[in-house]
Amino acid sequence: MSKVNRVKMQFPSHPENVSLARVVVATMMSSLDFTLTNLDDVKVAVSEAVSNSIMHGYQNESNGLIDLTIAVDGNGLEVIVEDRGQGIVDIEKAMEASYSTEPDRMGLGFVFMQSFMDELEVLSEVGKGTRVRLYKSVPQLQRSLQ
Amino acid sequence: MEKVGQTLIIRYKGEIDMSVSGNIKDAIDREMDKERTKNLIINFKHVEFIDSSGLGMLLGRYKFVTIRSGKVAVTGANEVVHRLLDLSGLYSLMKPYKNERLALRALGEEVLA
Ligand SMILES: Nc1ncnc2c1ncn2[C@@H]1O[C@H](COP(=O)(O)OP(=O)(O)OP(=O)(O)O)[C@@H](O)[C@H]1O
Ligand SMILES: [Mg+2]
Repeated sequence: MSKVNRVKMQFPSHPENVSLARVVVATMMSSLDFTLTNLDDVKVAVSEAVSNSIMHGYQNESNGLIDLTIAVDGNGLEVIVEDRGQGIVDIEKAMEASYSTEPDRMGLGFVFMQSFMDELEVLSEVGKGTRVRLYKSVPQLQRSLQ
Repeated sequence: MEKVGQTLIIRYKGEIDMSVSGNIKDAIDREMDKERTKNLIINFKHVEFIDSSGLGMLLGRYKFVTIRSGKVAVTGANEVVHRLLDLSGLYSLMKPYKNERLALRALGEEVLA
């Protein structure tokens, strides 16, 4: 049985904090038997969720607050990204590939979160904010070798 | 950044996310305007990370270059960057080459053997 670790942090919606979030999550992952590809995948997914909170949730205003919760146990990693920004009008539509409410964007954020993680849950309320939960389990083979 | 004939080569070092993609965009567009270059080669050799903000910026540069009837080529992508360029479909707009020399040659620039 590996021990459970859980870290909660809050930071303002500055673009520089996207890399901070990636580094913290990557550090938490290093205690588990994730592969390097897993690490890259999770870094992309976290980058997408935090970037979305900053640019869509808070529309690039840097005075919003983002809550990041990272939990690991022997089986996997859970990351929760929450903002109290403008929220998503139509979650289903927002999660479609290539859908973006902005012309210069590719609409790939949710696609990457979906394909690089094992679980993705999005809760959102217009005017209240958005909560994204990501989960990645440690690969089976890696686990049985412990 | 380096100019070879009608081609601008950009060699960015670091991680490309929303905190830097705006600056990279401005730097490329400014340099291409100033140097009147037509084509763009992006060398990813020292790029350890990219996300959708970076990919969106690349798509924008593709459009910018296409308006000048130029081409975009890429080289040096590591595994993560390669995977995202592939998944995003950007490889159908900007072809990957083994190295800068091959990319330059494909863009019609004279390169010494
Ligand atoms: N935290 C959020 N708050 C408000 N709206 C959001 C949030 N996250 C996503 N959205 C909405 O969902 C849409 C799709 O998000 P997604 O990340 O897939 O694409 P994008 O951010 O528009 O483009 P890309 O991620 O490729 O740069 C966004 O255009 C935005 O309208
Ligand atoms: Mg996004």
